[in-house]
Amino acid sequence: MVDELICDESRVWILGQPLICRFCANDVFLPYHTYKNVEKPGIDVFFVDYTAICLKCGCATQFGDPSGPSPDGTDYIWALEQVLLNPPEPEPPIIRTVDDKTLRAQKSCLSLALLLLVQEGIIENAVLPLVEEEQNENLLHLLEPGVYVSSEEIPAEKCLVLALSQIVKHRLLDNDKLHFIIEYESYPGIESFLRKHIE
Amino acid sequence: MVRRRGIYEVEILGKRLCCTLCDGKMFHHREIYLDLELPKKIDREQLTLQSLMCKVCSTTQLVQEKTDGTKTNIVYIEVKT
Repeated sequence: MVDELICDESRVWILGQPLICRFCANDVFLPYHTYKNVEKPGIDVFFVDYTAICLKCGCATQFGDPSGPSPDGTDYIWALEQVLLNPPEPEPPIIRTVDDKTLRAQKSCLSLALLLLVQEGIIENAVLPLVEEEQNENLLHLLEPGVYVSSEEIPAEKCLVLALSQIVKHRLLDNDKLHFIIEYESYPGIESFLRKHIE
Repeated sequence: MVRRRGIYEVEILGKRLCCTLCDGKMFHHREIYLDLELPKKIDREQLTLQSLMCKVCSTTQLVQEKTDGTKTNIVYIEVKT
């Protein structure tokens, strides 16, 4: 069911009944939102409905949207259904490439951040080898149990963000200073800042 | 803008148009413009349609004119009265 119809070549159903052109019996339409000036409840009140143009013969069929609460009031019934003839192509996934130098810096910062968390007894020792083995998914679950993981690959950067947010949450370091370094100095700064605090 | 006065019999894709209510076959014609955006907007987009009103009962049917080369989907046959 759809909230509103898209103005594109499509088949339309109203309360489960297919919209059929009454003149030529074709079922493919171009539905437009059209505005009508209505009398009530005042001047300049506009009523929006649909004018669907049959793609074969051009005849217009006008209808509104009868969606509304079910008779017993416990449900809401969406009345309109639309199937596009040419559904849009799914958008290609965004692939972010990280150069080697940045990746190394990310991993080195991540190791340091984890070391700090282990040192303070917030996480288990076992996480440390995961960085080298690039088991980012397992790492992510350890850092934030119950986090939703989509099928895409998890970048080291995401783990680093989580590790740093744990450090901030437990107030292990000067949070203001850490924020400043992340914002203005990025990796080299984070690395030396973290290193200073590791025993 | 197309201006037609008089009474017409209408064929769409070669098929005779009949009134959906009284089965009448003679129509008055006007070109009409439906607003596709709030009518307060000055440069609003509009949908141009041919309005065919039954001569007998005035039930109105709307048709979009489509042109394919020299052929159009709507053919008007003027009725001499």
